Amino acid sequence: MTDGIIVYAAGCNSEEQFIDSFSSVVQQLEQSREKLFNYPDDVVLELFSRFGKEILQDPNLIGIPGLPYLSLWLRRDNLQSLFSVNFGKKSHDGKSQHIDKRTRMICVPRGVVCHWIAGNIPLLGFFSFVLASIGKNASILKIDPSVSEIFCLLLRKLKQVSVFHDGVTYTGSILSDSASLVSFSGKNSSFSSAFSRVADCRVVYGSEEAVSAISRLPCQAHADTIIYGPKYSFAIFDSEMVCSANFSSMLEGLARDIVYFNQAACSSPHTIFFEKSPVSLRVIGEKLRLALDTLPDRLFTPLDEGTALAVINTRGRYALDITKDILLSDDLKWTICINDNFSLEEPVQGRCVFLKEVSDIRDVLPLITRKVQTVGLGLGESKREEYIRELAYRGVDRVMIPGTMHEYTQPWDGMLGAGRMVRWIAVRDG
Amino acid sequence: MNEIMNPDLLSGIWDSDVYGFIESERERILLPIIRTQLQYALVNEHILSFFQKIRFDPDHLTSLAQVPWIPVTMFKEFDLATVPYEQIVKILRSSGTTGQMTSKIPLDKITISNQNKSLSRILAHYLGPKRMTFIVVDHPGINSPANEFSARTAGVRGLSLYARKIVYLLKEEDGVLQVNPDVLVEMNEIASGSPVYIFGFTWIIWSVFLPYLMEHSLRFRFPHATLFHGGGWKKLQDLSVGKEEFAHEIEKSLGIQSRKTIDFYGMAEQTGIIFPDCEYGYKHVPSCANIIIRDIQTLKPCGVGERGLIEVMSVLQTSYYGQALLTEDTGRIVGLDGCPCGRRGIYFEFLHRVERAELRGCGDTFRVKDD
Repeated sequence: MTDGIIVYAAGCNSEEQFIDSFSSVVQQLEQSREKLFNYPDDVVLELFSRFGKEILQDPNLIGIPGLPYLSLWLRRDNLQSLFSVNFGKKSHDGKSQHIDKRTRMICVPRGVVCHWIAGNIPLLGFFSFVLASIGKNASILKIDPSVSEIFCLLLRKLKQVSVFHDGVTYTGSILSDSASLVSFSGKNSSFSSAFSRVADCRVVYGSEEAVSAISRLPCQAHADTIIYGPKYSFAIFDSEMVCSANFSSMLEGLARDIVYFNQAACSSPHTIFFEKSPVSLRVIGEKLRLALDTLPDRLFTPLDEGTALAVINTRGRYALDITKDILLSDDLKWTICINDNFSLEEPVQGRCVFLKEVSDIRDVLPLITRKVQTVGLGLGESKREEYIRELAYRGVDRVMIPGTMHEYTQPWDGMLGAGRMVRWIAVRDG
Repeated sequence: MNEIMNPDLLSGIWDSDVYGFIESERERILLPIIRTQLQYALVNEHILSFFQKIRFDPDHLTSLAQVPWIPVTMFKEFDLATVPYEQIVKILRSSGTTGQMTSKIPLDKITISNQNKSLSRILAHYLGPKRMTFIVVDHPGINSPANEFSARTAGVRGLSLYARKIVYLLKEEDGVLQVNPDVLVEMNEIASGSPVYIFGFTWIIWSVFLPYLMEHSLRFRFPHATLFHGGGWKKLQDLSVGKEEFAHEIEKSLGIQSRKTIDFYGMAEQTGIIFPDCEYGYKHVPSCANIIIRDIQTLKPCGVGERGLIEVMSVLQTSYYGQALLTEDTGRIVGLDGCPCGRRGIYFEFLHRVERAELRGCGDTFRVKDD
């Protein structure tokens, strides 16, 4: 990466440029966000929803990883749910929520949200931008240069969409103009500090090392910091589910969870526990192999070379170890490692999972820490509710059915992210 | 077990020129040897487990590409001996460059003898038939049996087979490598005497030896010498120093012709096989070995010109499973049988070592740091 701040030609910037201070970007965004603040909430949601429909029809955008899911996520009903769960009903537009007869509260944006976007999920930044925008914030997204082209295309597309509301035509430019895309080396402390200082709210995605470093950067006293740090995900199936007619379809869902994002997401399962049942782990492994083999080829995107090497070495280890078992594809599409070490295995990524048998699903509970994000849960109804409460108490952020582990839900990581990006103003009327 | 393995198994290899095989011959001659070796390798419980898990039967082996490869790093974690313990006369311990754990490579007499024979034959192709003075750009401790066997040790030991006398140009003080001026004063005398060949780790020559010569305005004349160097290329690539510039600097400081500065590729796990550059800059595969470049996504053999992981196959070892080792290095096959240097068989080039993955983003390690 060049030793400077690149501002990409998208959003509020019409031309790519190199800058050494964020002041001009912030100045532009402040103007845009004032306009955005005066737009009806429904228009904002409708614009994103329209955008979600149109991105699948635009030939320029075909092939962007995760685009179909983004489109699905931007459904109007989903956006409405996200809005409601984060802000309550009709809290923007100057309309208030009453606390009691005399007091009400108004929701206003925090201002300029600076997003530090991890490079492992290409569209992660866009989801973050949408959450900030429905709270009428402006956004500066620090992205990896490798995804800049995707983001520029998406923001340009957003600019083009339009909706008709209460007799007025609104265009997506108000949303795209409230965003700016930048890249700079995170090792450059001067740029990192400057970026942090302009934030009214900081949203940080990344590894432990990255979030720790960013958290230490100087920031405005009023700025809130939302951290989506390193997380680990896994799945559990009880014996009732293993023996049920649904098991194969559950494994099909799990196979998709394993393959999406090449297992680099925080919601990607790495270890899969199966409660002891008449079905052996080897047979379960064979069923999972079948589920993985039937997934469409397009889901298996190339691994980066370092990850491929990690998978190759893991395969060697499991093939040679007489106490372990392995099922593997001829290529690097998938790897199923079987062992009886009772632990959450360190992620290898690259579609490499570890299957383990436990005598009782409750045995898994002591392994759970606050670092666990998503548990893919394949449990019969009888134990389900009580088990979910245990998982939640011990630190799990999300409990999902296999096949839905990556659904970008609110809350996420235990937080209502969009809700954290607004301020609540108390108003006493009488 | 190798006490009943036919001792003449490799006779077809030794009877031919070291670079004499055309590719179709290589497959025909190596395949039955490797098939037999794989059958014997089943005495190792890890290899047996491996073959069972992938449902591989050596009796049904029909091509060299089918030989089950293991990642070269597995020597750090498993005992891959294929002979009884009492037959092992030496265990090479190699720290390598990629990790903290040590590779353990068990050698029996037959393997050592095969490795030495192979190395002599390869070196003869580059140095001629006579033994020479061997100048090592490293410190004497690198060849001490008391110290760990590293890639540098492998180079020094392997190449010393051809040595009449060995001279070490460096010394190690407090863990720091530096030129030994006492030895350096003998260099002109050595240069005017018998023919020499020189070996050093590429990065050490570049970062320790050449700067010293420049700093002290020293130049030597070894117009007939050959310099072998290998390893440490990543650091030079980071400095944008390529083979040509390296050879040019060697010519300026040591008077060695550029074409006689020879980069070679090799590893402790396949001692006995080195791949020096030919006069045209390509690496050739000796008759006892094979190279397969594997696509890093599909793991299938790549075609000519395609980049992939280098798999090194060898029939030299009877004491461990080294018949097919997948390295962490990338390369590409340049051609088959047609190198203008006259050596037959596959010729290839080394590209670079794959960088290990660093888990990044929100899905990184589960470990909780102690601090």
